Amino acid sequence: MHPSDYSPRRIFILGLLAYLIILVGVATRNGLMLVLVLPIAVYLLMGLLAGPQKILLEVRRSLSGERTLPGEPVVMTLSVRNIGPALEEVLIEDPLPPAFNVINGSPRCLLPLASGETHTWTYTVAGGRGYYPLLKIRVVANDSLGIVVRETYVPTDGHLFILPHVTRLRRLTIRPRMTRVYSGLIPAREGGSGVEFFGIRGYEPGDSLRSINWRSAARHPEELHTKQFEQERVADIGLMLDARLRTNVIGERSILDHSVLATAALADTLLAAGNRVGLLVYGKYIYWTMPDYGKLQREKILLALARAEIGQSQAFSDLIIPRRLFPAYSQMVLISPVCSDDVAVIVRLRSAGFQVIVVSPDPVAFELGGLPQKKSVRLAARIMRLERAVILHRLQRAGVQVVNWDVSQPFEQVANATLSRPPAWVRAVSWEGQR
Amino acid sequence: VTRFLTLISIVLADVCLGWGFISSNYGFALLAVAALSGLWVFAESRAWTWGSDLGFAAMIAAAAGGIALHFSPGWMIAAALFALVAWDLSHFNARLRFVGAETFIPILERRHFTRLGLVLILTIVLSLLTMQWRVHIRFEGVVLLVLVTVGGMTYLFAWLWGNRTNSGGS
Repeated sequence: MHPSDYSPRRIFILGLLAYLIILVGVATRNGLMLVLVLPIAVYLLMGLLAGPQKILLEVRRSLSGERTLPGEPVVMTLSVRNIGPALEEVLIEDPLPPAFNVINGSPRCLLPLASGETHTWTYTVAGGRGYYPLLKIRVVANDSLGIVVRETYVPTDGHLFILPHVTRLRRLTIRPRMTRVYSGLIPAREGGSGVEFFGIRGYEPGDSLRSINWRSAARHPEELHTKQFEQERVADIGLMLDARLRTNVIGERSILDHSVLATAALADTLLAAGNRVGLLVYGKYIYWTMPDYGKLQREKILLALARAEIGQSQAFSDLIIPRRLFPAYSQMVLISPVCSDDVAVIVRLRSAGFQVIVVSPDPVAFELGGLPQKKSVRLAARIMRLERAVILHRLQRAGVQVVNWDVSQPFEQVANATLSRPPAWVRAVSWEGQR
Repeated sequence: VTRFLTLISIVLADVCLGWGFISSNYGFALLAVAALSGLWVFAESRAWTWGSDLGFAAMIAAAAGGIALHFSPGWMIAAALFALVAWDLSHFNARLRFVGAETFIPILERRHFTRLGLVLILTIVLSLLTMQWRVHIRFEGVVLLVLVTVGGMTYLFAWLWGNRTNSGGS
C-alpha cells in the first residue's frame, strides 16, 4: 500500500495519542495505561485491514449542451461504473471551475459502490463566459472508518463553451479604402450599380436610357451623360481584441468582458453584412481566427471569444498584421481600453494603410463605478479623464476613428450612435465632396 | 442518527469520566470535564471538525490522567472508548454532508455502525484480557513491548511526515 493512501490527519491524531499514552505509561510505570491504547490500536487495525485496495472506475459525462450563454443553466449528468473491487465509501467529486455556480443538485456524491454497480446523478450549473474543459473527476475512496484513504482522478470527456452574449447592432457604416470583388453593403468608392449616387460620366453605347442624367442633357444638349452609383461590396475586416493584463485589469476587476461583448456584437453584425472577418486576441498569446465569411466564421469567432483570457503581454510593439490575411487598406477594428504606449502602434497601423477604428471601453468610468464618490476620487478621475482624452485625441489626429464607450451604457446604443453613419470628417472629405 | 449518536457518545464519555472522578473523590474536576464536553458539543453544533479532534484528545488525556492517579480503570477506559466513538462519528457526520442522494445515508450508516460495533466489542474483550494479563507479565517485559511500540510509532511518524512533505500536505 502506498504511503499517500493513508489519511494523514486522522492517523496522525490517533498515532500521537497512542504514542503519548505509552510514554506516560512508561514514565509512571503504570501498565494499565497501555490498556488505554487498545481502543485506538483496534480502531486503526480495523481501518487498515478494510481499506480499499484499488480504485477502478469508469466515468461518463454528458451535458445538456456544449455551448451556452453566461448564466444559462447546463444540466450535467455523471454516470459512474465500478469495474474494480467493491468500495465501502467513495466520494466522487466533479472539480468545477470557480466561475461555475451550482444551481441545483451537487457535484459531489458519497456512496458505497459494489463491484459492477453503476450510479448516475445530475446537477445543474451556470457560469460566466469562458471555455471549460471538463476532463477529470476526483475520486476519494476509504474504508468505513475513514482510516485508509485513496485518491485518484478519473478521466472523462466533456467541455463547455460559455459564449458571450451577442447584441445585434444596426448596419455599421465603415469605409475601408479597399473592398473585395463580391457585392455587399460597404461603399466601394467606385462607380457602377448601386443605390447611392456616385457621379456622372459620358454616355456610352449600351448604357440604359434610365441611367441618363436628363438634367445634364438639358444643360449640354450636344452630349449625354450617364449617372453612376457607388458600388457596394464586402470588405476585409480584422477585429483585434486587446486582452492584456496591463490594460484590462483595473483594481481587482477586469474590463475584458465588456471588450468581449463589443467584439462579439461587431463580429456578428459585420459577418451578417457579408464581410470577411478575422479576429486577433492579443493576451497571453496571440491567437488568430483566420478571416472568413458566414455563420461558421461567426461560430469560430464566438468560440475564440469564449476562450479569451487576460494575459501578461506588455504592448502591441511586436504586433505584425500578416498581409496575406489582411491586405493593405483593409479595415481594422481594435477593441481596447488603450493606454498611452499603444498610440504609436495604432498610428503605425494607420500609416501602413489600414483604416482603423478603436472601440475603447472607458476604464476610468469603469473604475469609478466601483469607488466611493469622494472628492479625492473625483479629482483623480478628472486627471485620468484628461490623460485619456489626450490619448484619444492623438489617435483621432492620426485619422483613427475612436468610439469612446462608457461601459455604464449599452454598447449597441453607443455603436449605433457612432458607427451607424460615417463620422463628419469622412463625409466631408470623401462623400459630400464627390457629389 | 449519526449526529444524535455523536452527542450521546460525548455525553456518555463525559458521564464515565465524571463518575470515575467522583468515585475517587475528585468531584471538583467534574466542572472541567463538563465544560470540556460542553465545548465539544458546541463545536459539533457548528460543524467544526477540529473541535472534535481537540475534544477527543482532551478526553483521552483526562482518562490517561485518571489512570495515572489510580482511578477506576474501567470507567477511564469506557470514557476513552466513548470519546473515540464520538470522534469517529463526528468525522463520519462531516463526510455525510457530501452524500448526493438521501437513499445512501442508511446504507453508509449501517455499514459504519457495524464496523464501529466490531471495534467496540474487540476493544472490550481485549481490554478485559489485557487487564487480566497485566498481573502475570513482568515490568521488564512491558518495557520491552513499549520500546518496540515506540520504535514502530516513531517509524510510522517519520513515514507519515515524509509522505506529507512529499505531497505538499493534505
